[in-house]
Amino acid sequence: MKAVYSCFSQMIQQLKQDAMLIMIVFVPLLAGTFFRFVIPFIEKLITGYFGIDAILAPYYELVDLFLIILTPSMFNYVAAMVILEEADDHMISYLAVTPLGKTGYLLSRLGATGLISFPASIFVSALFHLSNANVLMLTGIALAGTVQGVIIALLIVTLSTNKVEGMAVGKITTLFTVGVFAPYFITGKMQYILSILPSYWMSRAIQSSDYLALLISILLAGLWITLLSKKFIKKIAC
Amino acid sequence: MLTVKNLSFSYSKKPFITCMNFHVERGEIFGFLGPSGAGKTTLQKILTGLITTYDGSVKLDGIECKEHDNHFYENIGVDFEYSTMYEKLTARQNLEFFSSLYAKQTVKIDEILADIGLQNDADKKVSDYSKGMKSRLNFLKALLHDPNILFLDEPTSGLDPANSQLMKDMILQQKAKGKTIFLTTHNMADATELCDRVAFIVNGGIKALDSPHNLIMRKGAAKVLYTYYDKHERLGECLLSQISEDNVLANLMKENRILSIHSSEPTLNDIFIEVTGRTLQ
Repeated sequence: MKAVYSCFSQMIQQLKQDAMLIMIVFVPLLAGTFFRFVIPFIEKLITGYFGIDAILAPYYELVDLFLIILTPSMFNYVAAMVILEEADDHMISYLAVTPLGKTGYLLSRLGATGLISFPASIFVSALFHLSNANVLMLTGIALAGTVQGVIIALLIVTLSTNKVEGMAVGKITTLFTVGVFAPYFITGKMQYILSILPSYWMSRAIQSSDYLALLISILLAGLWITLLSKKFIKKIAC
Repeated sequence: MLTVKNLSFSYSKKPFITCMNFHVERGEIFGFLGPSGAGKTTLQKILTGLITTYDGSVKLDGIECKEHDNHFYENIGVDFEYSTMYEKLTARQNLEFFSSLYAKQTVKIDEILADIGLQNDADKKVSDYSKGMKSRLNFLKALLHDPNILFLDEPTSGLDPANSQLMKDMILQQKAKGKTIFLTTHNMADATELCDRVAFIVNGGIKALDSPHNLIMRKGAAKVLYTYYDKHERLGECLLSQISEDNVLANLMKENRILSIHSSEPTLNDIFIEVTGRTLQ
């Protein structure tokens, strides 16, 4: 673990020299401020205009869900960019032949990022949440979101060979969160088309306070991480 | 130190390394020579435990490479052909970071930097280093944890003659300390100078394996080439071992008619082309 800690500290040192990546870490705070103050204001305006009790309010859980997912996604996006930069510089191949090893490297980059993004996600959610979802559910969603963030980072680093490709793939990986819409906007069994995405089960969980759906989301994300990690480790070797 | 038995490996359905067998003794400098795409890098990846999906057995210091744990790397130093340093950090910061990855006691950074003449550049960013300095620093990085086994990939590639000689001296210093060194190179002169034994690798197989001297002696003998004037300039040649039997040469010497004379030993490169039918690229 000493090597993993050292390598993680090294990543933080690298980030201190990259203002662009540091800015990305603050995106959830900006988004949270917008969600918390601008959306209720818009709701007040449009409900007053149309004379309806609620228009956006039934979807506040969805907004909370987005915010919770956003925090680990941004943190892991930054970690993915660091990995791609290190891949460009052949650093990963070298670190893989030190006691850190391939798995240790992944842990130092994505595991440690996950450990930070989980409390950060809870913090952002506690500051800016709109819905009345209970704390336990929001914490569970933060955990599921953290695991999903790791998937996004793994997708970026597995599917791209450099930072430029990584930025493009990063945009495509937002499709991975499309599952959150299914329980709200797709009726009937059609919504299960998106059930291979952990985000679908996260949405089900927050919509119906369904802890089983939350567990399925985390287990499914674990499966994605296992498959993608194997693919990435194979990529390091070749 | 290293025993390879029936090693086979493939990236696809087509075999890439096929039934390779060899053994390397402790304290040897062992060279892998071959053209690009021959399988040298793949072999090095197998030996360093990066590729674990091979068939057969590869035992390095008694450990099967595909079953290693990360402790395996406490005794292995790897120097890649390209620089593997954080360019935005100084040499000292880089070495401190890489030292921190090892559980065992590492060497003192200031002392080791002084050994290779970089003590005055320790706090300079690596991006400001010349290619020669980067190569030396990269090599130094592989020695931080005082490993018993070194893997060096093209250590003199792109270096000027002075830096190249410095690098070769450093490699020989490590050999003198009893370390086992695996050297991958295109440079036949370096291999001849440094290696105790070399393996010619072509198309994923070993075509020849012996000491450079034995390979040269086995495949060819030194020749004597001479030119002389007889109506126009002519070229003669004979084997050095049969020089006394060349009557033309004897007469030319007697009559002082030789224009030039050279002895020519075959090089490892000549032997490589003869054995493999290919040139190094």
